[in-house]
Amino acid sequence: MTIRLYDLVGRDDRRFSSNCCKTLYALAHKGLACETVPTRFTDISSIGDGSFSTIPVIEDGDTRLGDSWEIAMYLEATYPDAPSLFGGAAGIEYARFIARWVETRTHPLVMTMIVHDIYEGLDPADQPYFWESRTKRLGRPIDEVPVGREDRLPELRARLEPIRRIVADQLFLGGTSPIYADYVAMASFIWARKTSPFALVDAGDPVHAWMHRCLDLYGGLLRQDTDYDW
Amino acid sequence: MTIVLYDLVGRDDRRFSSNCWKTSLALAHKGCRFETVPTKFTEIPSIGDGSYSTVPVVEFDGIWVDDSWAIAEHLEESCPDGPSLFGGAGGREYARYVQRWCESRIHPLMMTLIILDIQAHLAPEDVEYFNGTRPQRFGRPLEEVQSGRDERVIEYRDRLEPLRRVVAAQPFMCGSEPSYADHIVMGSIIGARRMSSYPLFVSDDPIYDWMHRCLDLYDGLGQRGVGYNW
Repeated sequence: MTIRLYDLVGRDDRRFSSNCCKTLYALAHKGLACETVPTRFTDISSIGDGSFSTIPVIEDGDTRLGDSWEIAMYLEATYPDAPSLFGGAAGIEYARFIARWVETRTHPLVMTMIVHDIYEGLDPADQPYFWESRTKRLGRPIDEVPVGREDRLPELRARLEPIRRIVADQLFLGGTSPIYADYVAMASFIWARKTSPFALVDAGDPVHAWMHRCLDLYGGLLRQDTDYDW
Repeated sequence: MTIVLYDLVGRDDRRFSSNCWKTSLALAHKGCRFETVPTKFTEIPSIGDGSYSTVPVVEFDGIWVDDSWAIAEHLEESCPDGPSLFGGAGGREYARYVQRWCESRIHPLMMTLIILDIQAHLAPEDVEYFNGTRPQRFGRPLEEVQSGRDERVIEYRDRLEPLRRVVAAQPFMCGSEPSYADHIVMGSIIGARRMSSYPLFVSDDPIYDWMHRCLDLYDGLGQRGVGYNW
């Protein structure tokens, strides 16, 4: 059965949501067929019964479920014969730790660099909502937030050092093959690469090579022609 | 089986090596009885066949293993009956990430907070060696390295935010039971408690509670012996 994924969309069909990327990876990892429903921010409230305020949302038969973490747990439990997303109970904990690390140490910093680029790439219908909500969240107009981002780049790259050391030695955080921890960490990069020309990592950085290994997975599933090339 | 751990020692039998503590906790985790040989920096070259430049070194009935990570992997393979250190393949990758995170982002910053305290608690025979190597490693006098620690401890605590969120929601990094990931971070903290009265955490921090849960493990192994209590 084909699973339906409500997937955030910007201008020119850019599928730029980091959380939707995690779910797309999880579905592909499990070998599950999927159709996506391009969904703008302002369309989210019309998904299903109208109770959702964020995406991804999936529909699998009679099951409708939101939140990328909950979806990953659901897929692992519902499709136990497909390749494991986590590699056991401790692998769930690994993904959880990476999620906490990303949400506190890297993703918010990346947000300060690309928030206005995201705005520029949105469908015009979404731009007023995004401007208002993100300006409130970040405490400043979002065209001011990225100012000086070049100066913050060394700090971001320093924060990536644990990942750098691992993927300099092995292909993925999961070892020789990717696991959900890779997808959680990678999602921020995909989000940035779909929305911003500002290169977070340079060629020559092991993190850059790992990013491209992840982008090549599943037939280049997460690559789009509209991606910025870095 | 006789297991002997060569364990770094300071003045007054203080066991202060973060890496040796990882090994002590791993041995206790596996339920292994072991002896320790207190070893000063300047005694490391006389361990075993004289080929070692760091501790821990462990002798398992004539099999010599050095490097805390290699020792953990050796233990996991050679003592399969004891509780798993990693909890499977995904958990081993989790521990690897935590090791890289700790060694690059957490432990080196912590060392700048207490480096003079370490110096003050060394065995007298080791002071000359320490003063001849550490200033070069940091690139400046140790007094300058430690200066301003009250500001830097804030940054240290910020960097630990992913851990804080995890252990605010569950007892240990891997869930309800301790794992080698806990031991890696705790090794650094226990080493600090041996040498410095400077509290790294305040008592309303979830990390403080987690630290004390870890210190209570294995009949209070991590709080046995000479050190400071914070």
